[in-house]
Parts: sequence; C-alpha cells; structure tokens
Amino acid sequence: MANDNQIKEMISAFAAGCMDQENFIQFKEYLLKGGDLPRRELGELQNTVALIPIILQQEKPQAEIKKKVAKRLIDLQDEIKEKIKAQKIKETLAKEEAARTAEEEVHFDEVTPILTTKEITESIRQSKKQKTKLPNTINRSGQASSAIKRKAEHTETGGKSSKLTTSFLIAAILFLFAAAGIYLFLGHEVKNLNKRIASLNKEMNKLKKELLANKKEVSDYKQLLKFLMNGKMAVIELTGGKNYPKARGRLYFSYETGDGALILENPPKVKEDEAYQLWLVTQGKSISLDVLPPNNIRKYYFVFNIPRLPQSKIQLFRITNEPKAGSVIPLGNTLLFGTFTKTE
Amino acid sequence: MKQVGKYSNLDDSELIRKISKYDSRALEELYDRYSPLLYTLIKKIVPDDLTASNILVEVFTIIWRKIDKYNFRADSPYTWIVTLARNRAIDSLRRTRSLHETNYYNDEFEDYFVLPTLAEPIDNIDLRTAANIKPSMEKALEKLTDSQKYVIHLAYYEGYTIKEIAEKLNIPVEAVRKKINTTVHNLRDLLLSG
Repeated sequence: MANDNQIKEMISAFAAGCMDQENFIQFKEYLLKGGDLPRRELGELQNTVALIPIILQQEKPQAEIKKKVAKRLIDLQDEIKEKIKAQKIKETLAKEEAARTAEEEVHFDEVTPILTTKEITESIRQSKKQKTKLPNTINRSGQASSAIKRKAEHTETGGKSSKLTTSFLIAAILFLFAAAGIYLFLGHEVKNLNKRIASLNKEMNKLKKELLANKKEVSDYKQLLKFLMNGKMAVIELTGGKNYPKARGRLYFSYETGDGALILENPPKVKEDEAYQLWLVTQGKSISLDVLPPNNIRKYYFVFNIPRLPQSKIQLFRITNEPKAGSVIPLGNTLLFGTFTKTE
Repeated sequence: MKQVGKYSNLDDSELIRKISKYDSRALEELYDRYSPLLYTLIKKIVPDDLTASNILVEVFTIIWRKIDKYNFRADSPYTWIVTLARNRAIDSLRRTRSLHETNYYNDEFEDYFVLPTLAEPIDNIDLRTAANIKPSMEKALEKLTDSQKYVIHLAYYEGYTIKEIAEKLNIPVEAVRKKINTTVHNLRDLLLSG
C-alpha cells in the first residue's frame, strides 16, 4: 500500500480524525477489508487521541437535557421494539434450526436399531449370491453328476432358508419404506402445524399491538383534551410548504406551562430513516423544539419545554424532514410552517 | 434507586453489553457517567450551549439506536463514546462552516462517518482508567511544542482536515501530515513513559 512512514502518517491522521473525506474513505475501506496495517499501533493512537479531552474542566449539563434524552428514547420505542423483535426472531430461528437438526438425528437413531446399514448390505449381498448361484445349479443339473446332485440337494435345503431370509428382507424393506413414509408425512404435518401456530402467534401479537395502540390513543386523546382545556393558549396555524399544499397543522402553545400540542393533517410522508423536526425561528436562528417520529395512527404530538419568548420575537414555527436522530440545524425541506394567528 | 446503585457497580463494557440488550437503565447510568465529559467536549467544539445540548441528546440517541454496531472485539468503551461525540460535534461544526456541504445526514452517513471504527486489538479504556491517566495526559500535552499544540487543536477541536490546516497555515500538506504524525506519536510515547 505505502511505505512505513506513509502508513504511520495515515494512521495518525485517521486517529486524529483529520483526514480529508476521500482519504478517509480509502483508508477505512482498506482497514475494514483487513489490509496490512500496524493495528495495535492504530489502537494505541486512537486511545491516546480520545484521552485529549479528559484534561478539560468538566461541566455538568442541565437536568432537562437528561429528560430530553429520556423522551427521545420513548419516541424511539417502536423502532427499538422492531429491533428487539428482529433479534428474537433471529435467535428463535437459530434455536429452531438447531432443534430440527437434533430432531433429525434422533429419528435416524431410532431407525438404526431395527436393521443396521451393515446388516442390510450383508443381507442384500447374500441374497444376490443366492440369486446368482441358482441359475448355475439349474444349468448344471442336466449333467447329472453325483457331486452336482449333492450340491443340488444342498441347494434345495438352503433354498428354503434363503426364501425365508428373502421374505424377511422384503418385509423389513417394506417396513422401512412405510416407516420413512410415515415419518415424512408426520414431519410435513408437524411443519404445517408449526407454521400455523407461528402465523396465529403473529396474528395474536398484531392484535395485541393494535389493542395497546388503541388504548394509548384513547389515553392520548384524553390528555389532549385535558391540555386543550387548560387556560390561555396561543394557536399557530401551519400550512404546507411549497410542495405540500394539502398539509395542514395547528400548534397549541401554553405560555403558562411552556408545553404545546401539535396536530397534523395530511402530513407529507417522510423516508423510513427520517422524522419530522419542529423548529422555532427567532432572530434568524432555528431552535429545535422536538423530533417527532411519523406515526400512522396518531395525528398529534405533545411538545414540551417550548422557550417562552415574547410573540414579537418569534418569527416562525416550521417542520422539516430530518434524520430520525434529529438535526442540529434544519437541513431538510420545509414541510409545514406558520406563525401566531390568535390566542384562545 | 437500588437498581441504579446496582448499575453503578458495573464497568463501562458491562454497561455497553446491557445497552446492547436495550436496557434503558444501563443507558441512564452511562449518561450519568459520561454526560459531563461529553457536554464539555461538545461545548468546546460547537459555537453555543443550545447546539451543544442538542448534540449531547443526539449522541445518546445514537448510542441507543446504533449499539448493535458496537464491535466487542475492539472493546474500548471510553474511546468509542468520546470519539462518537467528537465526530458528531465536528460534523455539525463543519456543516455550519461550509456552505458547500453536500453530504446529506442520514443513517448511512452516520454509520460510515460518525460511528467510530476502532482497531483490533485495542486496549480497553473506560472512564475510570481515563480519569486515572488525566495527570499524565496533562503533563504530556504540556511537553508538546507550541506548533504541535496548535496543530492538534485545529485538528481535534476545530475539525480542520490536513488540507484545510495546510491552507490555513499556508504550509505544504506534507508538512502538516508529518506534524500530526509526530504530535500524536509523541503524545502516545509521553503517556507510555509517564
């Protein structure tokens, strides 16, 4: 890739986080693909660089930031539930696969004691021997030599036992086929039943989820009604941005508590990894009020800790589409916007 | 409260393991431990307190959402968390500084450019170890030359790339690359010897 000095320079720049994007991509790809690098040294430098800020005089963040983190986690509940579900499904599938393999082994073990493979092979070999011997005996019987006669007599007595063995073999093989057939049939049936159970479980979980969502919706509506009946309220009518003429919204804002309720109608759809982010624009600067995950069931959101600025200082409220984790400054499209219209 | 006490006995790696199973109390403990350091670091990078607060919230949201990307084979929780916070803050600073920022911030961008990729093997450092190393780090940074201190400040706290530092100081890119290399290696050696 490069000489030792160049490699050292590259790992230092990577550890210090000051590579240009193009070099960063090249280096990271090389690192991820297991390229030849002094990895221990890179690890030491990464630890060293991360220790730089430990000397700073630390300042505790305000308590409300912790609340915001907690609220964000609650907003992410659905996403995390999906992740947990996916994790569990993966684990269950792995367990089922392991169990199935073990089960198959058990069945084979059960079949083996009836007649071992060795025994079957031996029986077939013997049966073949008998079959090949018989025509010879018949051919030579015409020559009427005493030796052959003796042999023929011997063959006749042996023939009886050979017939018995053959019958036994045929019966055993038939039994094996029947057992295999039953096993396959039962296995198929069990699989079908398992599928049905899994599908019923899925259906049940879906219904449970819907029930919970409905319960939550009723409780949220109650909360919303309680909130709206709560004293003096400023109302901000939101209209759709340039490309979203059908989108409408209303933000109720209580100066008394600093809390708000946002109701959306026909909100523009956002990508899977995006959310709505509500901003307050004051003196040309956007302040993030909240990141609101899109929700097909609920059309309203509660927003807490809205800065209680005088109305004259608030230029605008706007909603943009941003990554799920939210943005520090608005980077997405303006989906809805509006300012104070009246006080209710 | 007793439960929180139980979590306070866990080391950072154990907390990360619990967070990887979406244990919110473990994240709370991690927040209590790391938020003062991360908040201070982010505040030093971005221009105002409000942005710093928002980024701190984001950092813990990222930890929660992306904990499945944590590589337990390169287990150095302190380095992973601090680097993540630094990367997120620097990205925000670069976006504010550059009008030509073309990268859209989405999950893909976050996974590639914000989540740290630590080397394997790496020594396990947690916050307690880092706090013990603090006096040695202060001494090591003191021993750097002024130009080394300046370059590392521009790179680490101001988020300038090698090319940008070269343009800013009007010196060749090669010289900056060498300076960063010497500084970072010096720091490591001073720490190891101190």
